[in-house]
Amino acid sequence: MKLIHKYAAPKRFYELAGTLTPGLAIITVVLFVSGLYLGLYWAPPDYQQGNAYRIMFVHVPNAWMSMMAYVAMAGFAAAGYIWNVRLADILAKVTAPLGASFTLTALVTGSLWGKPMWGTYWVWDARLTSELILLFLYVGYMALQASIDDPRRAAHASAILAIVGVVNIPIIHYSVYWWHTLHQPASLTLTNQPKIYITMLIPLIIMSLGFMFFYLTMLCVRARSEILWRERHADWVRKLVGLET
Amino acid sequence: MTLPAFLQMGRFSVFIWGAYGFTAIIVFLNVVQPLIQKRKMWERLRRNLDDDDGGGEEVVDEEAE
Repeated sequence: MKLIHKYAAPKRFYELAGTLTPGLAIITVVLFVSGLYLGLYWAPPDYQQGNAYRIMFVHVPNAWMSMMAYVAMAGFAAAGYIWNVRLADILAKVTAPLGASFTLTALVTGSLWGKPMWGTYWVWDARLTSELILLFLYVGYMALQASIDDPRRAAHASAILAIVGVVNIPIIHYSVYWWHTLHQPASLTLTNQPKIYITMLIPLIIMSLGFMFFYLTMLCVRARSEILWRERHADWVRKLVGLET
Repeated sequence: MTLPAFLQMGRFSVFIWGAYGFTAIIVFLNVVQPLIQKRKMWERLRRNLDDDDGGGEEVVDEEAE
């Protein structure tokens, strides 16, 4: 426990994030550029969907990241709530807008994929509706954070919402199996062979890694700003800003 | 593949470029917004606006997400 508090000190994380950010940003750019080249040019058209399936290379990574970011946010929020780790509160807070962005992108790109394939932009099926609820959970979390001035109280109140909202994640994942949905079941699982061809799988994995590194990069950038603001009365910040010598 | 054929993407250009364009905008906003926020915050910290003169509360509201 002492170890967690030691390494989760905001000052220590501020320095660590500052060191990691350029490397993470470079990896993100490389993954995005190569993923876009492979996804838009190298991968062949699908025999049924033609080129429309290429939306998958932005839709699926964003859908995965929307859920992963929520689990991360709830984990950070729980750590902050249980062990009073300030850094965990900060990481939960800065994850929310990123997760909301991933969710919104997944919904919009999915809608743009749905129109040519299903003939409609939107249906109230279980997968789409549960993903929309995820967006509302992110917005609710951010609204709750913004409505309380005291950061500790804001973190505690919104942590409860984040933790309760985790129940939506398995619902999103298993919705395509539990209910009859227009949305297709997962093509990639941890236990079975992938159902998509390797030339389509490679760009999908590269783009997914790209969005994962993008999340980590922006997490570091946002967390550094949040740490600086919350610790503005601390000596190390005043020295950093140049208010004290 | 020629450039017009690439841009046309079969008959799905509107949907594909719409999806990629929207994603690009969201990624761009996610990069720019924290950088603008960081710049503004650094200016405020340098001007020492976080003193207990009433200005601090106003700043906290603006910074809250």
